[in-house]
Amino acid sequence: MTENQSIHHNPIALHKALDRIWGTKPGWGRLAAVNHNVIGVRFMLTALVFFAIGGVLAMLIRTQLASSQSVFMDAETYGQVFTMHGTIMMFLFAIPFFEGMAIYLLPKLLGTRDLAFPRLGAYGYWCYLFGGMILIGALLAGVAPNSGWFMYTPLSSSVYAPGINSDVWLLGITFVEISALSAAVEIIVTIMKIRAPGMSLDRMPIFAWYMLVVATMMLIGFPPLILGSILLEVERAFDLPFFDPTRGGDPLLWQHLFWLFGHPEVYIIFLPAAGAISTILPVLAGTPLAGYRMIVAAIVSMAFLSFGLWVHHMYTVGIPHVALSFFSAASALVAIPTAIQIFAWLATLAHGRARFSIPMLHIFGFFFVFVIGGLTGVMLAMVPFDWQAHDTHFVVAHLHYVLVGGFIFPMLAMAYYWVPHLTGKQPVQHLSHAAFWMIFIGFNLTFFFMHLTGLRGMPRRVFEYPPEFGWEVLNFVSSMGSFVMAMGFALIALDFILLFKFGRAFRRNPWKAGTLEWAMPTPPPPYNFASIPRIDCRADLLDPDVIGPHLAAGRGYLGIPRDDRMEVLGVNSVTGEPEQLVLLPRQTFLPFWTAVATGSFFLLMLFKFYWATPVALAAVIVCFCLWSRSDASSFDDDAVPIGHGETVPVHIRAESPPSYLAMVLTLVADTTLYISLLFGCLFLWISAPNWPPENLQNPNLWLLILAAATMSLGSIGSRISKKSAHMALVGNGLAFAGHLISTGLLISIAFYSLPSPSGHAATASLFVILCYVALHGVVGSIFAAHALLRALRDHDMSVRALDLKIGGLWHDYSAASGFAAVGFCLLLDSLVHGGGL
Amino acid sequence: MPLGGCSGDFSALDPAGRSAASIASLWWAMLWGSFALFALVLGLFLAAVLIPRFGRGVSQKRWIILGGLVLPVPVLTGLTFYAFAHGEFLLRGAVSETDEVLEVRAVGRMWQWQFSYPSVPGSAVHTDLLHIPAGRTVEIIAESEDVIHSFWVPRLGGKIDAVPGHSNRLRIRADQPGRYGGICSEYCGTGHAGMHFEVQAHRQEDFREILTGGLHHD
Amino acid sequence: MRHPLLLLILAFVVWSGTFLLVYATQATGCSLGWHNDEIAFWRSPLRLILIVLVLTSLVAIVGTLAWLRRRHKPAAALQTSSFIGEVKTYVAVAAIFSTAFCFAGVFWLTLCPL
Ligand code: HEM
Ligand SMILES: [Cu+2]
Ligand SMILES: [Cu+2]
Repeated sequence: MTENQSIHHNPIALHKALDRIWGTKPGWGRLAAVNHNVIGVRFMLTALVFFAIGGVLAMLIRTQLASSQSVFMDAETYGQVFTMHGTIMMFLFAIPFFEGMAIYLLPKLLGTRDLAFPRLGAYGYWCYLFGGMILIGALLAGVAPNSGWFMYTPLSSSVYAPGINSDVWLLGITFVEISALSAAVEIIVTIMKIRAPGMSLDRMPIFAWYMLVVATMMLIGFPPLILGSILLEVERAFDLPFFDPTRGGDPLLWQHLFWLFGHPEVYIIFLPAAGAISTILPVLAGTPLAGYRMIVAAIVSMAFLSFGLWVHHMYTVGIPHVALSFFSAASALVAIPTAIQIFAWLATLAHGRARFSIPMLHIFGFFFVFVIGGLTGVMLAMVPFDWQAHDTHFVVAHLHYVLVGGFIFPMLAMAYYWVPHLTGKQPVQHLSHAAFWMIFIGFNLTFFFMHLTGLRGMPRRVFEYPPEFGWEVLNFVSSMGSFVMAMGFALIALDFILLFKFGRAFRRNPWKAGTLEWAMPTPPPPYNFASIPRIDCRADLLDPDVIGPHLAAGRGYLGIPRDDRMEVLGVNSVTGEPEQLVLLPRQTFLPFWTAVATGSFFLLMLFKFYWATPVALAAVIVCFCLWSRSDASSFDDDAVPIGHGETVPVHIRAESPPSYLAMVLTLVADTTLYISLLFGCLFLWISAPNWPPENLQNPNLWLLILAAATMSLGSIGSRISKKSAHMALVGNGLAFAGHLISTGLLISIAFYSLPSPSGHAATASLFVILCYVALHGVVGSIFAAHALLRALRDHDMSVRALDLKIGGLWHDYSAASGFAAVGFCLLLDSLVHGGGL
Repeated sequence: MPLGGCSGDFSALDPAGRSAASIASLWWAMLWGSFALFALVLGLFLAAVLIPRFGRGVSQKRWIILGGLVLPVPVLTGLTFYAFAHGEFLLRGAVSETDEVLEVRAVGRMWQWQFSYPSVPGSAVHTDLLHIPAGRTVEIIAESEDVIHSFWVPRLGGKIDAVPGHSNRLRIRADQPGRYGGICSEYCGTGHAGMHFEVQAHRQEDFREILTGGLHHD
Repeated sequence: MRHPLLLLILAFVVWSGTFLLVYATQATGCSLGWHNDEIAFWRSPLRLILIVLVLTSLVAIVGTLAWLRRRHKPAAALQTSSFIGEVKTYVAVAAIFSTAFCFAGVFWLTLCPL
């Protein structure tokens, strides 16, 4: 108690105490880092390294194309270079960079100390790093993917790409996507649950709304890509013909799955950048953001619309006009929410007094470039024009206007705006102007004329062209422009190095911003806020100069560290009133080792040691089981004081703890994957040649129904186990047995009663669906076993309630997926044998 | 047209048939429209930043409604519905009355095209050379033997993918006899850049003889 | 399932469902030959089905908006609920417009591959 007294209202003592708890240990301890400051910065720095690599590849491309019949690269090398350029820029640079930015910024803007699941963030980072390293390794070894960043089959299939190249893409990218999905879950849960008290939905800083929308899009958008990658890898490795037209597969299935992810992806990249602009621009204009509510409505609408336009990448594959019209109209429509945001920014500028500064210069670059990209986007959305422009350099120009305008310029604006926060130093600004103009001019020189190159007939992805085609002058101009741009980026790098070395220190809040990230010392301490604020107006209209010292003195919530615990507040997702005390896990090596185990699985797949993969999977499962040991149970009271005379329960005893929401979200992603799988198989029936299969024996239907029924024992068992402590043993035992038996049945059907799945895509589909359900059985039995063990060890019932609730969700979902599989078998059977209804 | 005139064999801006010509006019219209919109948005941006008190008289909500709804909604609606009608027109072969079309099978494989005429008995199969009659709508049936390719003759019309397992159709038309460049426009492996072909449009009278090998061509 | 954020997106969820349904019906119809080239285009059974689908969902979304407005009761603090109410209305109006706009093609565009 005496120690606490001395901490009370003494900022220095408080800082020391908190820093000891939250800080990352030096040396090897760095591998155990879970803090969002560390993880966020690691994400961003790693992404920048990949950006540099992708940029070098871009320069190689431009060197090659500068003259006709250049002998710099051969066709194979060029294929690897442009594929890796696109892949790196999209998957290893753009997405991870904004993930890092969100991880770094969100807790600060939301007025809290860390994200909801720090270990998940660390795990995501290691997956990203290791996955990226696999791809770069392949590039150095000369076996990089070479069928373009969208990996169209059959070019990427084992027949036409027998080497390891495509496997590197499919496995490496799937590995990296683990980090995207985990980031999505983490971001949503954090925004919904871990905010400062009083921050109701309408008071969230606009950036939080953007990230909430983006993370939800990731949750729905990535599963189709992951599914597609799994199916294609399974086709390559085990000859299940999902995409092989000679055996009832269809290359178009891949295109649908890829673009169902691929188009939302563009908005997933753009929206965080737009969120940053919505945060920075009002500060620079010295006035609140105009149209907060309309912007929220616009980005929500945009998120939905962006899932209804993927076919605009497929206008030329032979889809009937009426179907194209749905996607064409949606593509045109999506310009409206964009226009609303643009004019909200213009309105903000008009009503404020713009302060000229380097971030503002980059915002100008954003407006200029992005508007052009948007306009050419509307052109391409029109089917007749796209029939000409598709797959030419016009599209290359368009996509760079959108990506560089919608991501690189905002990113540079953010960098100049927030690097003072990150380093505690203000820029010297000798090179910043020159660097901007070089990038800006170089960019337009490169890509503006490229529109014309495309309309003059130059397809994308060609490594040479005869001089008489008349594309040489335009290409030469583009190449020169790109070198100017590259020098501009080099200057930017130099500018930041100078900033780190010679930047001036500043007191609080250099931009006079109204957001909470400036209400802390800079560079930020690992715990962000010495105590947590209460918010009583919109959280971008605050006064950090007043709030900062107040919080540093521990006058907010949780101002007194206790028992070395990392504490944050969980709030009601709507009203923002405190509901629970969330205890975060301390620094640990577990995420690192789990990622190593996960990586070993992917490497074993890559090098075709399939027999050893179960060992790696088991290692992953063991690692994850170790995660669940938490020390939160040591809090006995129902009501823990959090300051200001208020008390709340610890999260494991709370009504809706963060982990419960996380499970719900995981199942949302899982459902998306399953629905994509079922629809994909039906799509084959509609579209693929060589249907119906000659001998589609359905699996033994009664056996399948039996399997689904035993699977539902899991969900019955979990209901029983919640009744009382005695019933817990019975219920969990039932669930465990149900899952095991059902998994056994499913596997025996898949492997013994189906004809060979490599014969026809229909059988392959059934096989994969059975495996999907069986996998849920395996995981369900692990949940049940875990609960069983805890019941045997006789923990306090109220502590186990959370585990049971989360397990219950899983059991219910697996049961539902089992019955859906039965339904699907019946449907497929009637479609195939009923001669089409 | 200021930019289009001087381009080579592959330029979509130098159309030689009705399909391509109508798409080129769509492009020019969209280009000028885009110039206007771009100038408007950038002008407003610069004015708002540089001119003190510019635009203060208009309330923020009005700014957003005018620029975010009133401006784009009619433009996009008009453009989209025009494009729908235009698409139908192109599907018919860019003619108002469907005359008899000539079917040509175009089979792509790594890395060449083979053209044949299912409806002309005794016609030869040509590699990387497509003979068509001028002034008549030609329907390309695009198929593939291996990976995805895409059939494109920029001066005559849009493109269509040759997807293995499917056969897709595209109508093109050359107004005048002449030679037009064609090029594969879906990445199909290391030979993709070299997968060109030539289209020769002949006068109706010569066409049939050329197909059956009666007349010389080079 | 009564979380305000779910209500906020409800209208667009209906739009998504419509999208899936209309696209799937169109593709299925073509594959099963419901479009029937022989008769005049406006009598094609597939076109009629699609038109009915689109009109029904339009009614459904308008109904959603009406329902949302009727059940709107200030739950949390006044500010929060006025915020949610306003955004919800914007989103629903956008969804209605999107439905009318996206599926207008079913009335006359070519239904199936030639
Ligand atoms: C830094 C300057 C950049 C230059 C000079 C550049 C140049 C190019 C060029 C010339 C191509 C076409 C290759 C071909 O079709 O043969 C290309 C493709 C592409 N670029 Fe960039 N790029 C740059 C930055 C970026 C950025 C920042 C992104 C994304 C965030 C990006 C994403 C892509 C993608 C996705 C492709 C398509 C790759 C494919 O066809 O598979 N690029 N780039
Ligand atoms: Cu797209
Ligand atoms: Cu090709």
